[in-house]
Amino acid sequence: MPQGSVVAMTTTTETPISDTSAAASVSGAVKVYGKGNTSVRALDGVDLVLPRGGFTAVMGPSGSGKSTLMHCMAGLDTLTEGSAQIGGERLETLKDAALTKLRRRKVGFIFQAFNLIQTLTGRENIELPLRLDGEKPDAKWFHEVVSRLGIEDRLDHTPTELSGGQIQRVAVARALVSRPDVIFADEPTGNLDTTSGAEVLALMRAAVDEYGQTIVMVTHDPNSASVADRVLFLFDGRIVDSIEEPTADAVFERMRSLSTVRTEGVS
Amino acid sequence: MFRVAVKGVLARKLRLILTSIAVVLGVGFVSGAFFLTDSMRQSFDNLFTQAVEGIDVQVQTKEYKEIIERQATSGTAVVSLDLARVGMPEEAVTRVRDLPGVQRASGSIFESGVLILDKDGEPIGTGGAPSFGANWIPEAADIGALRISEGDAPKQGEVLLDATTIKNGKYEVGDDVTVLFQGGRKTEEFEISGVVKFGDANNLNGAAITVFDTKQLQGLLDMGDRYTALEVQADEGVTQTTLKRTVAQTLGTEYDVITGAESAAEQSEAIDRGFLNILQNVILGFAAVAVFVGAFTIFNTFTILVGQRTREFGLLRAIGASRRQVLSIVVLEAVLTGIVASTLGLLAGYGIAGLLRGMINSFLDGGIPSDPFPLTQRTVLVSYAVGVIVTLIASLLPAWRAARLSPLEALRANPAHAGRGWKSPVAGSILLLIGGALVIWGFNPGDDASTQTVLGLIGGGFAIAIVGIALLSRLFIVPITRVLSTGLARGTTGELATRNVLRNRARSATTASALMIGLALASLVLVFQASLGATVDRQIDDILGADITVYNSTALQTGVGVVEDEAVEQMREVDGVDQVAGQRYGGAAIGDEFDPGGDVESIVAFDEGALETDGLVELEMDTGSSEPGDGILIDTDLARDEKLGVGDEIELAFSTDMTRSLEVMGVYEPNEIVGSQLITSIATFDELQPENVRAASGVFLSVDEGVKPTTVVERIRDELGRDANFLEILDTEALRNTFNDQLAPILGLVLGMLSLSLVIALFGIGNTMALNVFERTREIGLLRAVGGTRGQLRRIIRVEAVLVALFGAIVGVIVGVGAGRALIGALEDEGFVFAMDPITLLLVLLGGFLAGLLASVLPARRAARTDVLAAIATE
Ligand SMILES: Nc1ncnc2c1ncn2[C@@H]1O[C@H](COP(=O)(O)OP(=O)(O)O)[C@@H](O)[C@H]1O
Ligand SMILES: [Mg+2]
Repeated sequence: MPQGSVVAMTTTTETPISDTSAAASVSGAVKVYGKGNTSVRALDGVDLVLPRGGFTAVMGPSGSGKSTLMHCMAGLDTLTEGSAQIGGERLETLKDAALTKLRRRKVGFIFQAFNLIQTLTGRENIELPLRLDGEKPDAKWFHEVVSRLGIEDRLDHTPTELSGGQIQRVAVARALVSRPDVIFADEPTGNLDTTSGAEVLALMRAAVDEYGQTIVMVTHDPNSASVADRVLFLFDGRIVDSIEEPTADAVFERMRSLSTVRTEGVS
Repeated sequence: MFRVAVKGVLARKLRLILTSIAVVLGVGFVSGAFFLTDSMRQSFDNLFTQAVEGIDVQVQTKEYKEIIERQATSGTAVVSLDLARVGMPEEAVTRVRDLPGVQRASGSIFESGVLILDKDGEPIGTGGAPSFGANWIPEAADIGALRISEGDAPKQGEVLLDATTIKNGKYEVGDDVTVLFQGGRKTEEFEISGVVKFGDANNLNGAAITVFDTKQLQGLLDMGDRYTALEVQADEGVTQTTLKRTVAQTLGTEYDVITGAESAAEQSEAIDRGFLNILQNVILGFAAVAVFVGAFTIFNTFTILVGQRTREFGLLRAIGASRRQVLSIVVLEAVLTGIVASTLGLLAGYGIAGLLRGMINSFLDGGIPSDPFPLTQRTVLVSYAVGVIVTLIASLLPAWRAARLSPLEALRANPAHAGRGWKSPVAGSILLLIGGALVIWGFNPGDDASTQTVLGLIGGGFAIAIVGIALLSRLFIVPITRVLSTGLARGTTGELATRNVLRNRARSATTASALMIGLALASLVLVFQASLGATVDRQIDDILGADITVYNSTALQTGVGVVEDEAVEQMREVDGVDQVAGQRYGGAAIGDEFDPGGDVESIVAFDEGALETDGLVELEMDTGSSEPGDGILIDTDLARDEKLGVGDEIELAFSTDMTRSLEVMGVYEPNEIVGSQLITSIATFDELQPENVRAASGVFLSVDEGVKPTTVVERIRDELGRDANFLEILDTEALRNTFNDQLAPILGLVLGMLSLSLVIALFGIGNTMALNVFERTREIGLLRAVGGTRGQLRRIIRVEAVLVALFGAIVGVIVGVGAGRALIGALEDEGFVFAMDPITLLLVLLGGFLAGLLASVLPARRAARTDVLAAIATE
């Protein structure tokens, strides 16, 4: 029996999928890697709506499909089945060039590591998506973002001269400065010490609260997840649970119970 | 360790094959040079062996042989050949014929300077090769290499032509043909009785041959009853050495007697020292450029590959590999790469040799037999030695770097890290100084230095200096790239490309060096060529007062080309001609003995009025008069060397066995138009020189005020009619062009080297760019993720490659022009003036630009295709 049916959990969808007021969404998302015997079903029917101005955390064991979900929602990868949209644009209808433009204008990224181009200064890295579009950043907004993130005096430094926390803040600034529909952050604090990690998380939270930015974040840490408005639990390519207004303890509890379910399911 | 190294090579085989293309080309040229020259040497040996079949002993007069050898080495006719005096006398032939053991003794004639005119009366060109006349020896019809392939032996009034001349002149057997003797002093009509070949070849190494009836040829060459050689065939059972001894004893010391085998060896050796040697050296020159440029590419690739594997080496060290073992892994990989590249190079050599033979044959009309290329031990050894040693040298530094790191450093290493040490510029400066010193030494060698030493010093010095410049060039890469990028690399992509170039200056500079070397060489030669042109222009402007210059176009082929007095008189009558003066040209020895094999100076004489102020030749006097009168004028160099001044006497000896003491009437500044250190009057000249040089070797004319020289040239042509066919009648513009035309082959070689170095540099840049793209996979993925389009990524790589290439091209042109400036400076005493042609230098830069563009195509495509997810998901 497939595990999915053992954990009979339905996703809570607050908005219908057709609602274009959502910052981004997927429905019936299936992603299969490879062919034949060796194929992996990384996403196995995910429906997810990211409401505007929401901070969503995605949790799940390693290999559960979190990164795949991010990539497919962000237009970095294409779904095998189902559909995805960002800011009202259906991703599966777009060609590479259009997808690239969409990433430039409507999507922000924060990765766990290698976030910045080594040869560019902090300022140049922040401005990069706009510059690639032949645009200049709005000076007021740029100033607002970098001063809020506390990196004004690091703007002329190259990544090798920045600390891990500063690098991630520059990455947050880059994601914010083009005012994207949604920011995808894949374990953004995974490489940071606890204090720097907490600072970066606080800043992401502030971006949601103060600027109404939509953020999705993958994390392993219940404390980090508790900063979000809701936490989704991914298991074998399916969303198996969610918590609204999570606390670290609640998240921790849910993870424990999920891993129990998994062990039982396997046995 | 061997297994690790083999796996290392196999894992990167494509990369390493791409890298070794430079070595493959270099080794290809090395082995190609050997393949081609070995095969040609073999077929010439065969031909010459065949040619002396039936000739057991060959005899020439010693004097004849000396003069011929002198003409072959000096290329000029300062010693003229009076065959009636120095030829092989009939009497000697008869004497040898009666000796015991002699089956046959025949007088043979083989003499250059017999030209065939085509149907329009123009001499049929041989591309600089000689044009021989030979006599038909009926008793030797079936032996030797010379065979009638069509038609019959020549009788009086008939000739045999070689197959190539027949073809080039569009003649057929039975046609009438005009033959020109002694540089046009005689012309004669003949009927073509047949065609000759040499073995299977249509011509003899590019040379033309016309075969005549013996008596008739003797008459036409004014040689009385003499020959140029005597060939003797021995009776059965008599050895060549026995016969040689008998003949030598009979004829005495005036004669040079050699066996047939020795004769064949002598001819082979002459070809070996001449044509084959030049050919081999030219191809090896290409090989040197290819190998040298290739070494930079290999060095770069090994540096990058080793850098990328630093962590792997750290791991090996951590689990117990010693420094030496790490070092030996890289060195072994280099050796393996070298072996593979050399093997491919050997194969490429076959192709290169074949291509070159095809090219040469298309010039020489099948003069080179298509024998298979012999694979000698020497070719194999040298090819592998060159390939392996170069690869090894280029990989030593990276290998040593890899081994030097401690395990922990290695594990932590960042492969793209840029070294900005002070060591390279210091080392570069030292190398530049050493190289410069060697070059200067090469230009001022000791008296006993051989040509090889001089070339070695200059070439080696240049190579060392170039390595120094390559190391130093990274100091300038920032400003130059910045300036270039303001013009070429605008916008965000341009900025990213610029930063990429500057990210690892050492790497970019080394990559650019490959291009720099070739373009430096090319611009050096271009500057030299432009300067030579300017120098000729200056001479024409400053010291040639004449508007028109006339000389015999067959002079090069016949060695005796003259303009007859009669023709000079005819020119004098042409409407629009103002002054006319001929210049005679002969040889003389300082002292009381004339030895054709010893020191012979040229000596000239001008018709009345030529040397006056504002005359046809502007002679600048140091002291004394510009009129030699009964005495002589000498130039300042000779005056210094011989410690002579006005009023002193100089004793001269001539080929006519006369000697004469002449009073120095004046001393003049060295003059390139005069082209000699001795000037006498025409009367003195004619009195002392043999009959065949008592005519003008060149004629200078000025035209009346207001008349166009070109119009006068046309009138002279009309006046002289057919005689003008073998005269060059040139106004100053045309004279300039003939000098420039002489430089055309050098230009061709330069273009060849330029293209070769461009090709190699192209692979070098492409290879480095591909490695860069690979190294920056993650960064490229990130760029794509945050919105960089494929086009933008392609552009970044393209601009980066162009910036690197242009940097190399600019440094190359600067270095080349600088070296050219220094070279011309050193030659200033010889009257050289510096000049350069900005257009050709711009074209060189354009070549660099295109090389960069082309080199970026594949890496750019690869960058654009980078899988974003794979790039960002790693680790
Ligand atoms: N490019 C790929 N090719 C094949 N399988 C992949 C690829 N990317 C991810 N997978 C597989 O898909 C599943 C989900 O991976 P991923 O989304 O990276 O998980 P997570 O981020 O939750 O750790 C895993 O089983 C992984 O091995
Ligand atoms: Mg992941």
